[in-house]
Amino acid sequence: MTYSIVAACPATGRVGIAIASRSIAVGFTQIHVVGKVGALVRLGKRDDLTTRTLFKLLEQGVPPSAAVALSGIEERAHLTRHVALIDAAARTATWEAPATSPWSGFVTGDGFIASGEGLAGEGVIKAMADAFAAGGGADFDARLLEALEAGAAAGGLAGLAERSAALVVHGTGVHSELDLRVDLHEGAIAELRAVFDFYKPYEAFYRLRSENPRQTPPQEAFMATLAATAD
Amino acid sequence: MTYSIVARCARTGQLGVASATFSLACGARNEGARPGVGVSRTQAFPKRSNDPLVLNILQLGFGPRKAMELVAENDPDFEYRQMGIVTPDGSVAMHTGSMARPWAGHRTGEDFAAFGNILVGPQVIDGIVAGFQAEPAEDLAERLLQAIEGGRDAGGQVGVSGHVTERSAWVRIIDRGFTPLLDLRVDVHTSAVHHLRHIYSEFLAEQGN
Repeated sequence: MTYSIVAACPATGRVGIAIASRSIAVGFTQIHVVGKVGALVRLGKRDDLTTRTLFKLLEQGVPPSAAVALSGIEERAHLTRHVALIDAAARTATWEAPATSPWSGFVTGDGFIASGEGLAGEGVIKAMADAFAAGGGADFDARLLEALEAGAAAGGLAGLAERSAALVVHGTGVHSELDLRVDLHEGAIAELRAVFDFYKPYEAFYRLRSENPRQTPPQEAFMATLAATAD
Repeated sequence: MTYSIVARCARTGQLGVASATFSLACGARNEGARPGVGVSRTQAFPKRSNDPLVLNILQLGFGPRKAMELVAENDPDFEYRQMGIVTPDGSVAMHTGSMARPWAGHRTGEDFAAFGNILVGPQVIDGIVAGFQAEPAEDLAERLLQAIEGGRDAGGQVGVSGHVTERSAWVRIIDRGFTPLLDLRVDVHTSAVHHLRHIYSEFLAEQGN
């Protein structure tokens, strides 16, 4: 009962994921993102060996399809139901165990995979794919979030509320560009949107605080400027 | 306006970090935990490349104190940073810069460093340490949550008009594996430490099913 989009933008070096699930803390349990390497959605139980192997192979330049084939995932198929993997060059691979919760599947497009299981129908991931593909001009993080919202609008988990969600984007730096989570909230996608909209105005302030502390006002003073702008 | 603990579980060898702060999404700055290498946590005015740099230095074989020295030489604004480091052998290093806003301070001990800034006073750090040491046989995640709760219950953060709430909180546990053993977050909330405890309880219940 999860749907997601994994995407890469080779022009900017970004990789990212937007995901929502009925399960708690999907941003911890079902995804892994490494800047300049790739992004993985792996639905199933904890399987450190498979995740590690996939990323070590991607780091060596092995394409995602070969990485999945070499990862030994078939031998540990009881741990994984569903895989969507993209590398920083936007090469993709998908894999699914024989038994998954219907509806489940993938739409692979130019630079992304929309996928999920336990969904209202194929329309959910088609809507995600259409939204992401149509959002060409918007920021990468906003496109991912809009794709997730489009999946929700197209029926999502067939009447069940999403309880966790995450939005993660890495660029070419040594840390993430954006990493936001909702670990437990009925209606997690709307909450993730609220967190995103609340957080975005702070982004530049937190960057200043990191890079130029001597010129950084106290956070309370910064927030007063936000409030003044809102008035 | 942040308090944190970095620690090692002597029983399992696991490393962990927990933070609570007025800033948003403190768990988004999660580049300071590397399997088999250590945990480094920068706060106050956190330079985000400092934690990965510490881990790179540790990975070369240097200890945490030397890593701290090298980062100090590399960072012209080091006095604005507050940083705690713990390694798999339980060594710790700690720095509270002179420009971290008061009250700022730390305590280190066997397997842990507890630290914070813009707090009501040193009793917050004492609360963190007492929470961490309350049940040494417990899982590290539980001990770190009790540590953060101890800091909160000792008064936590303070601003010009009194108590300042925790808007985000985070706990992560790692071992030698590629992926974390636990990583739970509250990014925006009016009482983030309380909500993190709730998520942890619900998560354990769900995993038990």
